[in-house]
Amino acid sequence: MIINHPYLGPRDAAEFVYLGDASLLERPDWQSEDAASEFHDYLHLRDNVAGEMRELWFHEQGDRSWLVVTRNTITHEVIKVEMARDVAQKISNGAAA
Amino acid sequence: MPNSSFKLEASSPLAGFSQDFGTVLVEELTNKALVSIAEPLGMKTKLQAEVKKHLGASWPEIGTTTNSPKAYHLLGLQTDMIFAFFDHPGGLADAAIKLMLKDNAYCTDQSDAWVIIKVSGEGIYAALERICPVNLSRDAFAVGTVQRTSMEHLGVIILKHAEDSFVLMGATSSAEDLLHAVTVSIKNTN
Repeated sequence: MIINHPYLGPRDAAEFVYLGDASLLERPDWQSEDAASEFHDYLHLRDNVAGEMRELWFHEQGDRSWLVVTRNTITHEVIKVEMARDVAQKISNGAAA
Repeated sequence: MPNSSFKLEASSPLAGFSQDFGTVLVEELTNKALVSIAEPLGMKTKLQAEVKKHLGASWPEIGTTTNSPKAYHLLGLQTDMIFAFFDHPGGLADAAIKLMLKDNAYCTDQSDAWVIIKVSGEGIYAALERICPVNLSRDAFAVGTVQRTSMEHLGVIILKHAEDSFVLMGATSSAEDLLHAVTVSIKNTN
């Protein structure tokens, strides 16, 4: 599988470490009234997607960047690759991830 | 022995290994320094200006290198951090850079952590393409390109510093393993 890194171009997936669902970037507000319930969901619940999924990948054997990779879990087609820092910035600016 | 006359000298990870394999020459480069220069949060513009002013080379984009008249080679390896690669006879290599960049950067002497191997010759492409996942063909990987990648299972920085000539940097702790991976591949493709 080839991941098209935004800065480095096509790189072999063997250089990366997989973390999981990119929803981990959307950490709940610890001050909200239902924080305990939200953190339970954040920590333990994942969708088991058969199809297009957004995932966090770490380029450990490369430039040490975190990426958000949109990938089809059935065909392994990589549809979109973004820098996780850009995605996180958008979230903190109030935009949907 | 308080007044000892012993003088300790550091040895290089591969003891100065050098061997000609016919189409490829493999040499360990000694007396080289690697100093990382990292950007403190929010100081990118200031640091880049200081690097240009004191080291004499512009801040390299990721995957590229810049060279200065002061013989500093700057390697763009990741966001917010570069490596300065230069000749150094020994001792702390980051002192001079710290003196120049002051509090505008986080500088760390990484020289002792890396083994540096130069591989050159026309046969090097065939040998490296078996162990390196990055496309090293002349069209895709021009002189001055640098990338961090892996060879076999080992993390390696690969720099193309001249035509048909690469510099490989790997961890000192697995220096022999990297040399083994490279030399076996050269023998297999010779």
